[in-house]
Amino acid sequence: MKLLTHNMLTSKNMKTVTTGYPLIIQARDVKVMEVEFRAEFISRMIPKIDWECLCRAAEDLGHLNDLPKSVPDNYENDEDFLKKAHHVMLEVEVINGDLICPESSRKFPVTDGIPNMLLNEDEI
Amino acid sequence: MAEPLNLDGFRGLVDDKLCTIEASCNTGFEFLVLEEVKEILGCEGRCHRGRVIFDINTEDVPKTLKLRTVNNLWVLVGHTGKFSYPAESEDQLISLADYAESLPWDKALQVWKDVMKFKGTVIKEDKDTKVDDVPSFRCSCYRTGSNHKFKSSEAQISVGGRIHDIFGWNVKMKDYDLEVVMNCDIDQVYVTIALTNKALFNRTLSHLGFLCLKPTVCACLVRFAKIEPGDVVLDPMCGGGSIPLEGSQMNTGGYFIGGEISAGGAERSRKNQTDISTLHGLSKVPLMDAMQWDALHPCLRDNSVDVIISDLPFGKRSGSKADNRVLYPRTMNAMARLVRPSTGRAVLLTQDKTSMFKTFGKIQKYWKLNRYFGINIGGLHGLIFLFNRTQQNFES
Repeated sequence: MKLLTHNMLTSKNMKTVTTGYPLIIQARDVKVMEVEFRAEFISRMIPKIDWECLCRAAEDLGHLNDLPKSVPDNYENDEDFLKKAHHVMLEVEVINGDLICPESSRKFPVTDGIPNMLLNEDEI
Repeated sequence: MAEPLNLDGFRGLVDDKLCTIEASCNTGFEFLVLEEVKEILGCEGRCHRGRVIFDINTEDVPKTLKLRTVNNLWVLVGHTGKFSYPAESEDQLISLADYAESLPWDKALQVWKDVMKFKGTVIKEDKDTKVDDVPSFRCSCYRTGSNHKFKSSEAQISVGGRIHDIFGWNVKMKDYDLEVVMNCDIDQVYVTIALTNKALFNRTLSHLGFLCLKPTVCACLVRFAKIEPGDVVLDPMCGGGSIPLEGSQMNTGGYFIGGEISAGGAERSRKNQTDISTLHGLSKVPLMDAMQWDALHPCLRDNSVDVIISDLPFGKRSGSKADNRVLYPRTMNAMARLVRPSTGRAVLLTQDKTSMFKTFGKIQKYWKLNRYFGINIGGLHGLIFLFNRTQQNFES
């Protein structure tokens, strides 16, 4: 599961949960893989994601490095920044671990790169 | 396959620098193939039923294999709009063979050789010398019309036999190198050589589930959705991930997410995704992710998705029509929270027309029908629906 996907995940579909975001990552296995850098794609994705959540997730996985805490002005033309964002969004994958709802502490397992977000009957 | 072609304005049969190509697709998708031919090859095509015909520079023919919406490709060798069939069946067969023999084969054969990367000898310098590295071939015939006094199989033998005499190639009905195709209509006859011995959709899906959507159909759906760079594209019922897998290889600039309720399906999606990375090297790591989820209780943030593309259960091999009456509207209303108002859209494929038509009214607060069109999908009549997300913000 890429951190870009994690950025969009929420547990608010659970009965008792109001916001359910962001999900806390407890990773056992993390993999880094090389993905071709596409500047336009990263540039268009930046305004759509929650930057704070991305930084937090990267930090939890030990891949924060020198990623800026906030998005710089004129980020579209800052290739250095875009490459750092690209690395964190697409190249760091959670393979095994859990995603934890911040309100209910419910754990969603990630196995072989696939998060299981299915809810039990009493959670819907 | 044997419907009258309109070749007005096409010069591939008279100009050595050009070839006329026949490209097949699932019926209904022709307009999308036309678009892809223009965009990827820069060629102006013409639609026929289940096919698009276009001229392309002879040296560029190998580029046609890059087309993702096309099932098969042929290069035209010859065409006549008015074939005079003699009275007797024997004579009809001979005249077809005569016609095939009279055609200029050199250019089309060279094109075939380049596309197939065939290393042997296609045209022998000396007709009578035995050469070992000639291709194996078969002749196929597709016929429509009731004025023929012969069967397709007889035409195959007659024309195939003549081709064997001219070129000295070995006949082989299966696992052949080269296929010559005779298309016989009521008045029209045209001859082609196949540029694809295996259909182009035999790519991508290494871990087949029991309900896979052909990659070429997936490519058509993705093209129809007009993905922009940075679009988040979701298939909420992705099965083995056919749609995200194909979409993420198409250079649309979109990010593809597949959600699937069954563990098996989600696993297959993931395996297919990692296989592509291994097969094609780093630059082709697909921009996709798969997860296990229930589409009716989706776990993505509000307004995080731009496009939904899905192959809905037809209600034949999976689920039932009665289930669809409930599933379709519930799914679309669940998706309404996820999809960005105004700009968001959904491209849905289904064969269960009735359930879909009954769904319109139940979802109209959030989804407005833009258009729909029919396609042929595995012998069934499918429909593709395009919905636009209304301006209305989601209210639970």
